Amino acid sequence: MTMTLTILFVIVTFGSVAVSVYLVIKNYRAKGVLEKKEQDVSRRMYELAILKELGDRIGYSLDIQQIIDIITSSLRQFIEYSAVSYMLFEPDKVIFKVHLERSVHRRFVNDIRDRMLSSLGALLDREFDKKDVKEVLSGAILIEELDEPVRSFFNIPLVIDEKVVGVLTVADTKNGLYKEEEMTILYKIIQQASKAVTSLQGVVKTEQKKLNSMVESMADGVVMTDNDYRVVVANPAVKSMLGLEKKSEPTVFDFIDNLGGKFDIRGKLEESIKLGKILDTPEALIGERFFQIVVSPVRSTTTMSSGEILGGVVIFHDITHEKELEELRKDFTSMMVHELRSPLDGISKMADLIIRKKSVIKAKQITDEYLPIIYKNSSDMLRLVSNLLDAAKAESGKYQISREPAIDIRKIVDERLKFYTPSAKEAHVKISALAAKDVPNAISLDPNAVTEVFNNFISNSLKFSRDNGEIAVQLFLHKATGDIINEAKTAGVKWFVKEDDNVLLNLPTSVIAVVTDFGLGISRDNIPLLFNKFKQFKTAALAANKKGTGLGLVITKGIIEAHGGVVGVASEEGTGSTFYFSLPIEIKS
Amino acid sequence: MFKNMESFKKVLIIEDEVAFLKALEGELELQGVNVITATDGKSGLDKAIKEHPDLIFLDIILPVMDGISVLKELRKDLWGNKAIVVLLTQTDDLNRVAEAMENGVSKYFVKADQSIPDIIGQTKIYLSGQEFPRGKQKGPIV
Repeated sequence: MTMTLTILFVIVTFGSVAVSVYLVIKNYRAKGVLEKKEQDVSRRMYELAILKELGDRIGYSLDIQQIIDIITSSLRQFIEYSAVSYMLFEPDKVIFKVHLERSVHRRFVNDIRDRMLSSLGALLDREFDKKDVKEVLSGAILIEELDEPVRSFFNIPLVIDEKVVGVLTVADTKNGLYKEEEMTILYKIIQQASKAVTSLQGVVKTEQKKLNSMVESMADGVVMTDNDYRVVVANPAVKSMLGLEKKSEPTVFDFIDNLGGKFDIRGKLEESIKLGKILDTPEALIGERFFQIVVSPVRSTTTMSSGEILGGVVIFHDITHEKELEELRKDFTSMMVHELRSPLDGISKMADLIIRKKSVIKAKQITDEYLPIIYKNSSDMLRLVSNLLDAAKAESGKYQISREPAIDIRKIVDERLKFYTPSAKEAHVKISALAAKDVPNAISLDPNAVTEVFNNFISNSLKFSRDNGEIAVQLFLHKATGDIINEAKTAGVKWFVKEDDNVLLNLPTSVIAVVTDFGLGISRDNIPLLFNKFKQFKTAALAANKKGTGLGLVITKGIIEAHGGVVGVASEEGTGSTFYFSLPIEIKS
Repeated sequence: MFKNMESFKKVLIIEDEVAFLKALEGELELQGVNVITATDGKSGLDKAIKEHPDLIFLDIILPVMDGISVLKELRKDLWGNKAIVVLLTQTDDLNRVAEAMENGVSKYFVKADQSIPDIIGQTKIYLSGQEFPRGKQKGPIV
């Protein structure tokens, strides 16, 4: 019994030991698999975490060095190394940053440096001098006793926008580290960072291009300098304003020279940058042009260095045209005094003379000499006042016309011809009329206003005609779908209008009235001034044979625009001029 | 220098405002003055040099040639250099008056501010009361 029990005990004990051993062995194996799995998962989790963290920390930074710093500081968490280092290639130097995880010998660092320099040289296909390397060492200290060489070494090129900008390296004193597959995570990190920076740089480049082309195409002159007055930006407008077209990169001294003491650019920049204030110079005469000049400090708006003054910008705004208009307006006022007060003063003085000297002045002198002058002065003034009012209305687009539904424009032309024939004869000028057959005989228009337009055109032509000259008053029909140049040709119209006349582009179906003379013609520069109230009035006031107020064309424009038409001039200097207008018609079929 | 009216026997008026011109001319003629007139600067200058009037009334804003140019041209002439000129102006002509002063004119009237008898009266006082400035002495005085 005891025996049996003993055997049983042995068996049980043995068995349990065997089972235990089995279980232990089994357990041990399973644990190994589990551990490996766990390692893989945590490694992958870690990879993801690192990538995410890097993504977050890199954010929208464009500073490659900063990004690489972030990467290298995170790297030790999953790669073993004695030293992690990077080299960045810059225009004037090579940045070499080494972070030692463990203390090494100086030779170790030099070895990494040389290897990295040669691989950078190979990647960029150029030679680098050790002298250009700017080394920054961090982490553990260098210890001379630890003379262990580089036994493991791994290099990854840093590529941004398909350009090699540097290399990243891990190195160790131990053997056999850094197998290709183990470095996948490093590749992934670098790739992700590179992708992020590349696409960000792309956005920045596009924005920069937009900004550049905006500054380049600005009509205002723009110069920007840094805090040391080095010119950073000078757009084409400022170069042409200051005669610096030939300088591709003008300096602040070029600006000082060409401003000729009229504007202290250096002083203003200094004041603006120091005080952080915008300085406005409302008017400066530089060369023959007037400028408003604004000097402003340029502040950084990036989150890192917000508010920091980076330099100054000078903006030149050409106000010559405004000044000219102001001058014209002043002239206009003084001309008004001359043209209105003088004749009124004349009338008053003449009447005073007649009253005081009525006993001595002969009645005949009063009626034949003085009264006609008083009459002429007062009617001239009346006409001037009316014209000024009309011109004001015309300019503000408020010219009132009273349309009549069915007017034959041919009749208006015939009447005008009869009216002007005597004065044309007197001036030895032949005046003729022509009307194309398809011009409708009933158009809606204001006959008095259109008559006035013809008066303006014809009297103008007479004024500029030569002896034995010729004036042609012509009418033809333009269809919305037709080519106006061909239509005029078919109708036999004589005019100086060319195909490139913008006024006649895209006209609706209209009657075109054309008055052409073969007189002196108008110079190209003077054509735009014809419709300028101020300019015309001054010219007319100073003319030797004062006829008209010079406001006729301004008023004409108002009348025709009130009819929905257009007015234009074409001229060849020395050959003659054409004045034309259009009257849109609705064709009832 | 001119003690009485007879001293300015011949007067030239260069003025494009005909009513004013006629009023001044009429008043002077009634006082027995021989009046010559011109309505633009160029013909005024020609008449001055040809007729040698004792006094010239000169408007500033004139067609063909303005008053200041007439004055400058006149001063280039041997006789014209010492001709007596009185300026007829508008209120806002002060800049041009200053320019005229540099060309030997020291009396001017703002037309609308004074009556014709006042203009004539003050001119007489002015001419008789003091030595009249003779303009820039550029050439020899005959």
